[in-house]
Amino acid sequence: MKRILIADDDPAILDGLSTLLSRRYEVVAARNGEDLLTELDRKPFDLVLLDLRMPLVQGEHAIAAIQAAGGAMPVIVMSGNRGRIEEALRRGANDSLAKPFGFRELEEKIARLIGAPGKPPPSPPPAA
Amino acid sequence: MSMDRPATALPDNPREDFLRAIAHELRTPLQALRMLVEVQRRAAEAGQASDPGLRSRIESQFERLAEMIDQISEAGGRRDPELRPEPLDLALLLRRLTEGRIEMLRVPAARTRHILRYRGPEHATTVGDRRRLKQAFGNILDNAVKFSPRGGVVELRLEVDPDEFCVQVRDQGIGIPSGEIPFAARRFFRGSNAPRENFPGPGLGLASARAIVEKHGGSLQIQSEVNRGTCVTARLPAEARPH
Repeated sequence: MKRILIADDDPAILDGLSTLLSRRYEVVAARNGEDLLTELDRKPFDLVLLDLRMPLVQGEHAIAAIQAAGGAMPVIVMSGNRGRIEEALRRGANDSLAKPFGFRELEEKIARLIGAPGKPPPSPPPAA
Repeated sequence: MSMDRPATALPDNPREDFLRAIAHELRTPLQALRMLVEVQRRAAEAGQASDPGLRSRIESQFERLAEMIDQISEAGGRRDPELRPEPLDLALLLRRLTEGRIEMLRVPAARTRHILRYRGPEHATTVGDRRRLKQAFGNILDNAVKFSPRGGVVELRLEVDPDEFCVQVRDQGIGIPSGEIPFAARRFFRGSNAPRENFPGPGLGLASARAIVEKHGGSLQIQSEVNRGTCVTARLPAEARPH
């Protein structure tokens, strides 16, 4: 089963996201940037779902840490702040979700990056 | 003696900063609601029985939104909170509030490992606005958790004297620098040791709590030491005199 790491400082959001995603993925949750980095050190993930506004280590720094770890782990950032989303995408995040987003939108973005559960990610379109 | 507000206690651009913080604060419960409602919808589609725990988590997000809107409109209009006094059991209210927060933090996903406990009598009857008192002590409790490290102990204590109820919330958090304590229960306060990036929020919780307690004829005091913790003490008259 593919593994997803979710980081958000709000327990209710973590609760909802974990409950929904854990039906199809193995989900690990982190409530702050420090927990996120600890989890990343423990075991690799197929995808990270990252709130940009978190205590202790901000999402932008977490993206840098993920990149520094050398893995090609896709990152979807979540935020209500358009400017921060754009900055995170410039720093290497693969996709974004503007809060409050719907679960279907999230599912589609995850499937685009790592494939539907049990399936490989879709092939990129052939170069023109 | 006049006391100047420390420069660190107010953001550089208060209006912009406030609006941004408010937008964030409102989006958070909305996002949580969208996810929790989706959990409920999928459970219903799968023919699963309605989960009372999930329902109460959804209701608590609606309450959270309603409280925020009260706080914002009172802060914006500099209005006093409106009270609807009724007989109530303050001990029961505080116990349930603590249990609710424990439940919220016990969600496996949350994993903050904070230890919350209530110390006090089983019952203590008075007259007050149940919803607003819940909001006031909820704000104080949420601040205590927010500014505490993982695994920190937060204790809510109720003492009943002949003349007054004394409610104390004590944490082991980052504390407030001594020169800033007099401003800590003012609107938009942010301690110089609590950067917004690490501790988001518009700075209305404690100010709103103070307004509600004072409207009940009580008072709010703050003691704090940096890196040792904060103790917020609310005193409410035993013969509640909402005004």
